[in-house]
Amino acid sequence: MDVLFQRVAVAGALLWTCLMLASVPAHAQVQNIYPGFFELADPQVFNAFAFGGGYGSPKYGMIQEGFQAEQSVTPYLGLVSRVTGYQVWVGDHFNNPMVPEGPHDNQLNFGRFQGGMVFALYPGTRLFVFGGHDIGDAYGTVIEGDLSSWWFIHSQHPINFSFSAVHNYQNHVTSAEIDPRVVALATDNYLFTAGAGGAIYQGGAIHAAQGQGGIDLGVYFRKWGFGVDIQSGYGTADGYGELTFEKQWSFLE
Amino acid sequence: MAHTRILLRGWAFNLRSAVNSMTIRAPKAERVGVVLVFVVSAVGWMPGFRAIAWAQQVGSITQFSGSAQLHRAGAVQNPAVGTVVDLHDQLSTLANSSATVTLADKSTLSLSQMTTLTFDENVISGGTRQRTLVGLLSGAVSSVITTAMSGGNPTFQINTPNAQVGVRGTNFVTTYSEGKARPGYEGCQRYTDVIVHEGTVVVTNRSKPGQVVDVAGGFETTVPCLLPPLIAGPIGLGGGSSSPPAAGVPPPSGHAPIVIKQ
Repeated sequence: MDVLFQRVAVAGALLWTCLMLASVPAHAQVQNIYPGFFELADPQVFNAFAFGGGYGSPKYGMIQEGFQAEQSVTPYLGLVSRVTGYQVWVGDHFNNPMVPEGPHDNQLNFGRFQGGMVFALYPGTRLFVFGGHDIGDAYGTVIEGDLSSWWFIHSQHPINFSFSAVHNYQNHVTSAEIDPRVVALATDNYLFTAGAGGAIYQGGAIHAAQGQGGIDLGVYFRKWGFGVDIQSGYGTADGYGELTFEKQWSFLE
Repeated sequence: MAHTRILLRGWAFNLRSAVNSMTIRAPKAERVGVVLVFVVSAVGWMPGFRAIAWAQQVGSITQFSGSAQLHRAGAVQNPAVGTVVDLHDQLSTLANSSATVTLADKSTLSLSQMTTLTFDENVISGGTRQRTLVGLLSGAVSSVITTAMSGGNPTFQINTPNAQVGVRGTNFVTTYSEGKARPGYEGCQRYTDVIVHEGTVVVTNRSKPGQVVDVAGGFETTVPCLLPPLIAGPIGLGGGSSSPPAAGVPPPSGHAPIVIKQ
């Protein structure tokens, strides 16, 4: 037993020594790739977003509205929280929520509260990792990952690749949205984007992967920090249209 | 009498005849004095020298908040609104401070906090600014230039320790920072960022003056250390000085679709 303890102790000491020796170049390497990785962000940045939008298809429709807050911690790490309200109408040829004529059958209302972290992986590339919970007509736990990455930012037409995936532990469905877009025109006041958008979902009662896809057009008003995006296409839910808007406020601290 | 006559006739007076006439009528000391006065008077009428003489006052401070220092000929003074800025002055804003210098042609230079700007050259001829050169030693300056071009040449230039920013546009922001590395530049700690809102600005690295990048309105570029300027890209996509999370970046088009229980 003593021999075993001695061996474990020696192995532990060796491992500890190796880790200590390796940590110096590792630290230097991190500093080289992410300068100031262990320092607090200067200046600190607080971003707030109000967002909303709607989705419509012959099989279901949805309106969402919410608020998101982001607080930087280090240059590469921040905290983020999001609260979203959803109204979902289910069924073929449901009553149009924009034109309320009569009762809305199969309407679901729920809120989603999420918190997590945002990682600045590279200039122009950010990854959000959320955990959260639904309350109301939905009550499951959700996890979500959002990635937004700008490529060729030093060019006339940078490309944005956005990916958002959510897993819902209530219905065990995983859904993902992918939007590749290119900057069609950039001025001091506007940023016009064009591209494609699509979604795919599977899990739970959805045994085979389903999805949708279409064209995506957006405009961002720089001075107002306001963006509008429309998407239209075809998929499992037949033809669909989607509108989202977002207003951003940024504060340097 | 000779003295008076020369002054009255000014620059049009024939120098040789004046000296000859003084040789006969005045003592040596007086003759030297008169010639000096004549030369100064004549030179003063030459257009180039008039420009230099008038260029000593570059502009004045028209907006000011917080604390700043104006360095002039070795002396330091605290500026205020209305303080005249002369050639070779150095204006430094301190923390939580800002100042705006309005030039003679109504162009404005707005200094952010912790910014140091030197006024290195200012040539005005016929009431029009021909060339203004300022040095940005640290911080950020936002420039609104009313007369950006003269005879096809930029009339306004900002020099940072590693970049030249020639102005063909009218509204842009130049920021110089050092001592802080950024991802992707292998330890470089000196950056000049140029954001152009209107017009076009031509940017070069001072060590590579032949490699020029034109930056149009709505675009920005960065000059890292001794490297040439990066190709201009749209403002705010994370390639410049914006600290993450970057401002001005459109969000993803939407969140993942809601899938209800079937």
